[in-house]
Amino acid sequence: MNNTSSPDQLTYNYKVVRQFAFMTVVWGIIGMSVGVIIASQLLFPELNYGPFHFGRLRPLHTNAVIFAFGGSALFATSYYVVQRTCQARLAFEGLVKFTFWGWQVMIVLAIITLLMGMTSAKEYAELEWPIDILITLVWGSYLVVFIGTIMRRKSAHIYVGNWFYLAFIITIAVLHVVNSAFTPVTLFKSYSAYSGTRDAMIQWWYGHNAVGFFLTAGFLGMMYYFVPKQANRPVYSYRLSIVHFWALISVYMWAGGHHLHYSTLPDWAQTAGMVMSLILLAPSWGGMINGMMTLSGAWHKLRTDPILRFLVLSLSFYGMSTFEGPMMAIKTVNALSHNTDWTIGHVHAGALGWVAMISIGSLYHMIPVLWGTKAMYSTKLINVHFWLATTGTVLYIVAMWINGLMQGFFWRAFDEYGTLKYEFVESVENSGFGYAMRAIGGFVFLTGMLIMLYNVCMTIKQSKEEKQTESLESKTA
Amino acid sequence: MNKIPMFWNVWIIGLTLTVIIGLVIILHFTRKMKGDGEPDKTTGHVFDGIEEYNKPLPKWWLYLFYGTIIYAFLYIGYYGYANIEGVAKWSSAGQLAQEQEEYEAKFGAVFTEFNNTPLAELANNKQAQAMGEQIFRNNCVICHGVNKEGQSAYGFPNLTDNDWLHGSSAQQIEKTIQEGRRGAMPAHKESLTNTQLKEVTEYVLSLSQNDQKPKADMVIAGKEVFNSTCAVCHGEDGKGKHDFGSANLTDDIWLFNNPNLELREDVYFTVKNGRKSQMPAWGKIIGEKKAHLAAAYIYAESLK
Repeated sequence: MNNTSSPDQLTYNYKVVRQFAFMTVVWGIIGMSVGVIIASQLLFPELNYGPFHFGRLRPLHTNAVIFAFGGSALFATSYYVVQRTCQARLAFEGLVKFTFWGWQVMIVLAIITLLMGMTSAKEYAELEWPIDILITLVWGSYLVVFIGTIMRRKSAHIYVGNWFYLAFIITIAVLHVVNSAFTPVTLFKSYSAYSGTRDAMIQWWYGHNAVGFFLTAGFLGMMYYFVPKQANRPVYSYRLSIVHFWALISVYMWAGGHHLHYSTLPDWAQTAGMVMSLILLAPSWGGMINGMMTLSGAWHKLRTDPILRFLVLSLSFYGMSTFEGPMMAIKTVNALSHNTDWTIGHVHAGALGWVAMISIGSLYHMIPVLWGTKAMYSTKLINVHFWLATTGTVLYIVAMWINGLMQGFFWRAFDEYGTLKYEFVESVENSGFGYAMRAIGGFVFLTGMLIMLYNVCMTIKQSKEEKQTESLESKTA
Repeated sequence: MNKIPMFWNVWIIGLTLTVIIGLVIILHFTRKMKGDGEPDKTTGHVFDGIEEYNKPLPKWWLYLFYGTIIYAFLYIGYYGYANIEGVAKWSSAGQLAQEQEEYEAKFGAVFTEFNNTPLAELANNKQAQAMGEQIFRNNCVICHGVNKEGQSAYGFPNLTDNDWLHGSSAQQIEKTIQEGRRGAMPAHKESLTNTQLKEVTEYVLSLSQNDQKPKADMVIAGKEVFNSTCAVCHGEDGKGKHDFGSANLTDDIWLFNNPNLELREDVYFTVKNGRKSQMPAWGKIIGEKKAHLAAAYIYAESLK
């Protein structure tokens, strides 16, 4: 097989990758800015103003960072990876365009409707039914494009990165359609097809698999391409990738019940949610091991390559949060952590430490290729971004651990007569320090993203200048 | 405990076992593979320059994986699953009952003792007061406020003004807290003309000392409306009746008084649209004994 020779880049569809890559940075900045605002609102309630109050901005933040930022990163990298590893141009040009513009329109509609207070009240699935239908159409097109491109591949095997991307696309389609099933009342209001405990279970089956497939499987696909590529080392273990792939996708499906511990959910479903979450530890770590060990023999590169540093640190945070998750799914631990800021810290260990950092690292690898420059405009600024992102994430997580433990212990403390010792508001009063620390951490992370935007724009500018010089040289020659 | 129908019982157990046993099978068969003697050999696939080793599964990882699976079976065996009863015969409902029993054994005696003591006596009992205050802080402050000042914008009564809609005797306070109260001021927009609504508003304002300067000409007409419509509940003197929970209109204490509105607008709104409010029946929520202690605390406060 002659797969190593690089085919003419012009045969790949890089336009849509460039579009999604650039929008990833833009939506990242918007989504994280809203995050910093709502973090500040918890500290200074006066900042709640008109429709821009916490209740409306919080779903806006989650939708913007998960679906706009994370979604664009997944579209960009999956379109890039599937083309390069299959040595085939993206199938169905028209559908490809539709996925980009459809997704962007969806995000803009999400921002408008959420600010107007329209919501189906399902976490991470708040958007009302017309937008749900648009998502379904875009996602179906994405699936068709992705499978179509894989079918055009030159090699017999399908690269492991593409297994993960494909599993993510198929599963999100199923999750979205099932969980968002509705009865419309007006153009802007619908009600869930499910009720009571069943509605809650379907919601968290969706909610946890949104984490498992959108934010884990998809990004593992990213990891499996960009880590070996940036380190220039072979993937550590093919068989480990097979085992942890099948284990991950079959076990994640069961874990959602741990969101409903000590609720009206039947006992067996809570038990399944807990033990499956614990079994999930090894399959999750399989991805981390495969990524980390790919670096063996190339560790020295970390000293000089901040992009690789982003990728490796993201794997560390992935390992950390996929250890923390199963621990928090244990019922006795959950009794302490549930509803506290610990949960928010756990989510952000994954969201900032894993999802954002691996996306950032992948973008820094991909952007010079996409715009045809030798490297990013400034490696120094990538390094600055790396340290800002790391500091921000650590501040955020630690702040939420402090708050979460304090809240958990305040809420369960009894006085000597068996009455709760603290009023709820006392736990709020004592959360101030953690909220301040979290807002600062988020702000530091956001600053890094702004530096990234500058670096990306300068790289694009540089590429245009280089092309101009080239054409001038070719004319004079 | 409710049993799951047989089909679903088999479905749940079967599917769970299929997934877990499937994991064991895939682990077992990939643990050893052909070519394990040459760990640095790649699989031969190359994707965009990326090659793949096929190194063995790390031992510690494999044992971790098996360990979690064994734990899952032990946990299920101990706590039960679907219709299978575990060794511990555990159920969440059973656990709750057991914890409540333990609570009762540990703290129950003092609550029972105080429950058999009248409020008048508890008012001077330091321990009962401390317990009552803590119960108040845990349950009542959301509406009535940490300083018991209430929230007049929403009609949550102030408990410090010595104005009691339903009376301040020990018996009345106990009833209010144990059984709850429903406040219902009827709407008069159908039965009175707009002019009458305005007139009666001015009359009501004239009953108490306030800053609204009621318009004298309307007050006289308003009095007639008041006597024919409002006096039934509020009394001809406007002092209200505890049996109805009707408000005393002569003391310039207003249950509904939005700080962002003029008092005149609020009174007019109340007469026109009526008001509804509800004090929950706390005896049913936190238990009769705790509600009794909360009543003891509020009763003692009312004597101050």
